[in-house]
Amino acid sequence: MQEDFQKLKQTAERDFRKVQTLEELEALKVKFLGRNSFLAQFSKKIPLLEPSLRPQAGRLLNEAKSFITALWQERKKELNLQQDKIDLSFPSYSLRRAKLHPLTLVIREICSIFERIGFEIQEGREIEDEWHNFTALNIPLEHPSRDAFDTFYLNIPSKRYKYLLRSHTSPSQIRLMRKRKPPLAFVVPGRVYRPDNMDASHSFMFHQIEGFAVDKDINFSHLKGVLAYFVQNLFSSEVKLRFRPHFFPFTEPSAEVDISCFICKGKGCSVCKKSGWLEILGCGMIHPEVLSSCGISPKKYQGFAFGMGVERITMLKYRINDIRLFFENDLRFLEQFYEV
Amino acid sequence: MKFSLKFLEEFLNLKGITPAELAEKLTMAGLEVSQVERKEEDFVFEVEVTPNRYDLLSIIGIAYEVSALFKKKVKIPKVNLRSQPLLNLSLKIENQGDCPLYTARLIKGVKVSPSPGWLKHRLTNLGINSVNNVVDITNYCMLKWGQPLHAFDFDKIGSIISVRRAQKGEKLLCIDNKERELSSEVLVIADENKPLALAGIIGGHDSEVSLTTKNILIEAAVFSPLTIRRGRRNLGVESESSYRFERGVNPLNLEKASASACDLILKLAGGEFAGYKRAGKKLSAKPFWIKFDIQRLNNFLGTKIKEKQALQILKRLNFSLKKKTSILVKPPSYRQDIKFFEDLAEEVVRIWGYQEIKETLPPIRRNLKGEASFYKFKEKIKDKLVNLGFSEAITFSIISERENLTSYKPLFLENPLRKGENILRPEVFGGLLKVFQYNVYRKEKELEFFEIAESFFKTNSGFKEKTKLVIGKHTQNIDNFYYFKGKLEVFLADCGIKEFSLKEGNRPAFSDYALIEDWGWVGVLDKEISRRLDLENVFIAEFDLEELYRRRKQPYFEEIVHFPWVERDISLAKRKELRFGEIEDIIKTQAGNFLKEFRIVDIYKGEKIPSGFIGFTLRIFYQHKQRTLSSEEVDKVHFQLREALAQKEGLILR
Repeated sequence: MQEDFQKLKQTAERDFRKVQTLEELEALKVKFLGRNSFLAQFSKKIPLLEPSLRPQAGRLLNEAKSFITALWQERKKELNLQQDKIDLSFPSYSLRRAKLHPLTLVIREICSIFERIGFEIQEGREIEDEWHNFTALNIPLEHPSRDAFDTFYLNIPSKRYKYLLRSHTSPSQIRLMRKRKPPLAFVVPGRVYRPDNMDASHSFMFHQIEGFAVDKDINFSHLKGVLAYFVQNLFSSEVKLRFRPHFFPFTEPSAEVDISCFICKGKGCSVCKKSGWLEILGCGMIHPEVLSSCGISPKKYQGFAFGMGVERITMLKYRINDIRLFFENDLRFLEQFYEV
Repeated sequence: MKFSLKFLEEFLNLKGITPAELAEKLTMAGLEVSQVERKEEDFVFEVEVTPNRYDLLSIIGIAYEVSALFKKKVKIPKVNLRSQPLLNLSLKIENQGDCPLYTARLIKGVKVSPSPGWLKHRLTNLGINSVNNVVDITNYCMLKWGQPLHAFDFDKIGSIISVRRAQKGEKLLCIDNKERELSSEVLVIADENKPLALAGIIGGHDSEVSLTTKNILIEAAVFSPLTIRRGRRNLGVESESSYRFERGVNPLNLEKASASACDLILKLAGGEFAGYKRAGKKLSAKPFWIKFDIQRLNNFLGTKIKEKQALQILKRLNFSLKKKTSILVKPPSYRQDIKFFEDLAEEVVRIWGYQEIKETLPPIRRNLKGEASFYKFKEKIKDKLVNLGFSEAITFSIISERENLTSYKPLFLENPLRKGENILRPEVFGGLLKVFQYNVYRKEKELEFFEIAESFFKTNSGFKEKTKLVIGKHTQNIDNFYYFKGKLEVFLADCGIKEFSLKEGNRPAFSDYALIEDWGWVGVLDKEISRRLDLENVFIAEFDLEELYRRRKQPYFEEIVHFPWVERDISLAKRKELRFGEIEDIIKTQAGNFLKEFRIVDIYKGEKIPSGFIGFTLRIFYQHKQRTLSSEEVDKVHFQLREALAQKEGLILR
């Protein structure tokens, strides 16, 4: 009798493990625990047994019943779980996320770096006059130093100064210096315009960020420190800076700033034209004539200023190879960028 | 500008200095070397001379710079400044503002022939064609001294030489074989009959020195940078000569350049010096003394340069020093760009080395005032719109007059790059149409974009520049307008504007159009225009962003109503012409303070709807703020609402 039960339990165990669907499982339950099952039949026979054998038979019966019931429950749980399971490797519904323009991303990042160390963000207007765009910045009206600032002039009759589309963000420096009192520290992002024909690296409309600080003892060493902080936060802490003497009419001394090429790590590649350096901005100590024209005494105050092209920096940062991509607004382009 | 090692070595000894080292040092001192090229025995350096350093437009000037960097001595050969006998020639300067000084030297009996090899190389290495010995010598001396010279065939010019403005209609065949028509913008050298040369720009063909020339007149003059600049811009011609005059020449080198050219001509082409004449004023460079203060310099640069070091650097740069109660320094005559103390600081530090200045972060101080920032507001607006599914576009503010789809008078550019891009756009939405078109051509049909940009237009008193926000959608289904409108409402609510009026009207280029208060509008682009642009349905909304900024409002908490609400649907069909506003009025009157809100849950345009009608399902939400409504109460109100709607002309209950 004991052997029969042992065998039954083994068969049940094997069968329950094999079963794959809930329907089969229910059929199996009927087979082992149903009215016509061996166990049901056996339980009817117990009263017919000799009284001395009955307790043992009863125990064996109950044991087998609960063993098989447990098998059934366990397998049912497993099968249920299996049925609720999904295929995680199945392709997703394709979703699209609206995006900020990469130039906005980079302008924000740049401005927020300067904001962290105390600069205020302000903007200017795009239509300017000659005085703010040139004269006040110590750029003589007809001089070769203006060649670098070819400008779109506007057909607006005016008695005093000709109107134009600003060719750099520096006129905002003049406006802010005239409006607010030192100490000053501003960054000014915005669109600027120059009559350059479009090609992979030129556009007649592009973006600049101007920055400047004026105080009693702001010096060139501070300019270097601020720009190093900026560059290392924007690109990487390993990037080195190189300041080369240069000439801008509105700063003295002036410098062009190169950063060590982060693509080839200074070894020389096509992006840095094998030089290991990438030119990224111009800067200097604000020219005393510029301070004077804004009503700030160069004897009492000194300051630095810098200006950079946002497209150039964005192209370097995201390794974009054609400036025209920024203005096509191709979704396949825009969708590639995000804030980090 | 180019210079070569061999040329430079005429003036200083560069033994032991490699071309790479020279290039690096010059670059790091402000004369950027963009290229070094080997040419046979020589090395040619291409440098970018900044506009303030006209002294570096000469080999001698570069020699001085190199001498300061490498502590080498410059040797300038002595020049015989022959000025006797006086030349019997009439020299007239019409206006000394255009030409303060004009000199002429005559050499008779020269033998014009090809140049010797060394001279040819000096020129060709620097990109100047060799012509003949006389012309080459004038060019060689220009490169050397920075003073442009010109040689005339003396037998082909008259006896009165004048420097004057050209007369309108005068013509000159130049040495590049192009005939140019002149205007009064242009300064010429002329004889009694006709113009001979464009002063400081290019010589004339008829008086040029050729192989048959016997007698030559060497011109050395100073011309006004502004006059030369205007003249060459006017004619669209640029030369080595005009490049230098525009940036200024050192008058102290004028006689040296002219006389040394004579010396060399006599040596290489023979002949005899036959006289000198001059007109105009004697010019001298007048550098002035500038107070030098090492403490101020260090405070300005954030350095700890010792006074002795700084003064040594200035001496190497040929500055004169004078010690009185304070130290005074004077730049050399060829450095007229040095005027301020700050210029001295730059001279010292560029030789000392920018790399020696420490990087220190200053405590940035600023007046904390008026911090409300339109910039920050705009950035938040951008985030809100991206969250609603609109991507940001950046498009050009300069467009073609033909693309102006508004009735505004645009501002014109005086000097457009191309005829097709000649105005500043009066509205920003045109940019989005191009973005839609670009992407539609690339098989993207469902598009949502926005842009924040300036718009510009003429006004009675002049012009206006306004910051605009434009939001647009391109879609294949016209009914998506209501999603677009929904997004606009959510966006405006997010700006603190919950209620606003729509006033329908007309606008060029739009088939449906409504003003939003007086700070925005929304519309559907005219189908004809859409089709022309290969677009389908285009919805545009434009806002005056400065107005939205002024109206921005922080939110205030409103008590949440916890009583349950009940929904009831009504299916309706309305005649197209019937404005929903009239239906809305009925709902508001009938439902009164039981009304929580209503929504359109379905729009239906099937067969069961009579033509000229639109079917839709309206869902009304009933709720009372102070108590729970019973279903009898709601049914009663709802029934009355249905009755009222049923009586409305142009409305059918379905």
